[in-house]
Order: sequence, then C-alpha cells, then structure tokens
Amino acid sequence: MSTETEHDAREEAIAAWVANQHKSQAKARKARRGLEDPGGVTITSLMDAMFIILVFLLMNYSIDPLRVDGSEDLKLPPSTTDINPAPSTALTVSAKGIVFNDKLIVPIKDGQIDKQYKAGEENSLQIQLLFDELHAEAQRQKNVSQLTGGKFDGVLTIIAHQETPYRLITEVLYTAGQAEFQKFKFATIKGGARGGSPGAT
Amino acid sequence: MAKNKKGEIAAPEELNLIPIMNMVVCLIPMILAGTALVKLGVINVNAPKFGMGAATEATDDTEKPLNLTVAIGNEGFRLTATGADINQVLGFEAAAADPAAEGAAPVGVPIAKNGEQYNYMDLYNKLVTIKKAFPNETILNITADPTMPFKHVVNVIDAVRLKLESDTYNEAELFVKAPARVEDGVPALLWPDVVFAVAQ
Repeated sequence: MSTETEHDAREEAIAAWVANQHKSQAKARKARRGLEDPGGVTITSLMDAMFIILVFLLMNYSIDPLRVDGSEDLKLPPSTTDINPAPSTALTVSAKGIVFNDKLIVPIKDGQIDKQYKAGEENSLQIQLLFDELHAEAQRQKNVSQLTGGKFDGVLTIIAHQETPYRLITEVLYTAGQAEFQKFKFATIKGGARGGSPGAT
Repeated sequence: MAKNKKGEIAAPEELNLIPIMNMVVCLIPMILAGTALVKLGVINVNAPKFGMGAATEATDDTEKPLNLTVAIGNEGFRLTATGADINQVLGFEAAAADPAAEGAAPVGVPIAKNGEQYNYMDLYNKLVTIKKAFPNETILNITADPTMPFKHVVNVIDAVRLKLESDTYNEAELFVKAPARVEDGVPALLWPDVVFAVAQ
C-alpha cells in the first residue's frame, strides 16, 4: 500500500516538474520571439524620402549645363556675376593642360605652352593642336546647324584656373577666334566679393 | 489567394525592401560626389583685339571711338584712351602728347595699388566719370601683364560691368557691399562690353 502511495506521489512530482518545464520553455520561446520581432518598424517612409532625394539629385545632375570637377589645378575665380551658364561648347584650361571634350589637347608647364605646340615661332598666339580640335568642332556644329535649320552661334565657354597667366588666356582666345568661335564666356564661381577676396593681391 | 499545404490562407509576405534601400543609399553619395555644390556663373567677353593703341574704325568723321583701355600691371592699373584725353576728362592736367594724333602713344592715368591691394574702388570712380563724359561708349579694352593671374582680370570685369548705387565711393567697405543700381527693372550697365587686348 505504501509502495503504491509512494509511486503515485513520485508520478505527481514528475507531472508537476514536466508542467513547470513546459511553462518555462513557453516563456523562453515567447521571450525569444520578442527579441526577433522588434515591434515592426516600417521603412516605407524612409524609402519615400530616399527616392525623393535621389530623383532631386538626378534632375539637378542632368540639367546642369556646366560641370566642373574642382581640384587644386582647376580653381575657378570668384565673381559677382549673376549670369547663369547656358549650354555651349566648353574648353577647360587647368594648371596642367588644356582639355577639350574630355581629352588633354596641350600640356601646360609653369603657365606656359611649349613652343612645339605653337603655330610658327615661340611668340605665336596660335596653339596649333587646339586650333585643329576647335576648328573640327566648329565645322561639326556648322554641319549640324545646316541639317537642323539652326545657326552656328560660335559661343565658347572657357573654364579657366584662376591663376592662369593672362598671356595664356589670350592665346586660347586667339586660337578659338581663328577656329571661328567669336563669343566667349568665362566660368566663375558665383558669390565673390567685388574687388576680389580680402588679402588677394 | 495563396494557400499553404494544409489549404489554409497564408498571410501575404512583406516585400523585402532592404536591397533596394542599400542601392539607394549607395546611389545618393555617388551622385552627391559628382554634383558641384558651388554655384557657377559666367562672364561674357568679346573676341580679343590684337595690337593696342589703334583706334577702331570710326563710323562718322565727327565721332571718334574712345577706345578706352584698362591695363593691369604689377604696380596697379593704367587707364588710356586714343579717342580723347582722359586726363582732362578726369580733371587732371592735359597730357603732354596729343592723344588724338596719329601714331602717338596714349598717355594714361595711373591708379596705384593701395598697399598690396589693387584699388578697384578708384578704378570704378574714374570709369564712372569717363562714362558720364562718353555715355554712348560701352566698349572697354582690358590688357594685362603676360604673367598676370586671370583672377585679377575677372575682378576688374566685376568692378566695371555694372553701375552701383552711388557714382563715387570713398570707403572700400562701402564699395564692396554696394548693390548694383537698377534702372527700369534691370541692372544699369557701366562698361558691359569687355574686349581682351594684347599688345604685340
């Protein structure tokens, strides 16, 4: 009799222990689920904001008629001008060279162009390789204008480094003039102070 | 509606937006890096003229072009003109040489540097005076020492292109901050047609 009672008591104890185990395991599972699901943070609004920023930047990128990759060799002079750039043929004169259509045409050393790139003698104003490129571009634009019924406007935007010597600027202008470009625009940074920045000599 | 193996209706799965987010987050810095954050402007310049001192062709015998030139040197500016004696226009003593005489070297008006700084204010004051004497003239030739940095040329163009609120300035600070004069809703022009000249 006593053996049966002991047996029943042991079985009850085991059943109670198993029930306790189930409870604690369920609790642990619940806790784990709670950690895995952090409350359902929605990223839809963040996505919306990101896409709006992306579209805005892409639009700005595509409508910008003049693009300048700023570097130590190409710092534009500041100016008080309020004229916005318009789409036109662009020529870059950096401290290292003259670049046209993403191609280095003539290297520049110490603000000068080597005489081998000039037409004629050393004091010549015409830079022969630049003339060839600009003349070809002018002819191409004229042909396009003829086909489309437009008019060749001969506008050249020059993106020049602020320390470029005046002589080199005039050589570029003269060469472009010989290649039938007659109107020039110089790219500058808006917001400059009248009379240059303080301390500039 | 999607059903699982037991035939129960399954809840719709949420679209996994994380790869798209990753792409967008990568694209934004790339575009930002390629976009110029500085605002660019342009200044207009006419085709260069080679050979200083020669007056441009007169359309009328009685009307001789002024042919006003600003030379930028290491010591400062020098104003010259072949069509008139600008010394007289500016109230100085008449130049010794007759500037209108053929082949005569133009006698100029120097504008010395103010310490290490170019005196753009004095240049503006003098050019306003000349403009009053020759209101129909718009062309200003600019020439400079061969080694003169381009930024100084741009500063001169900035100083002479537009009329400011006042005709004369005595303080550099007021000159720098002065807004452009507006006439009939547009900025009033002083010497808008800039031509680069090269002495040969």
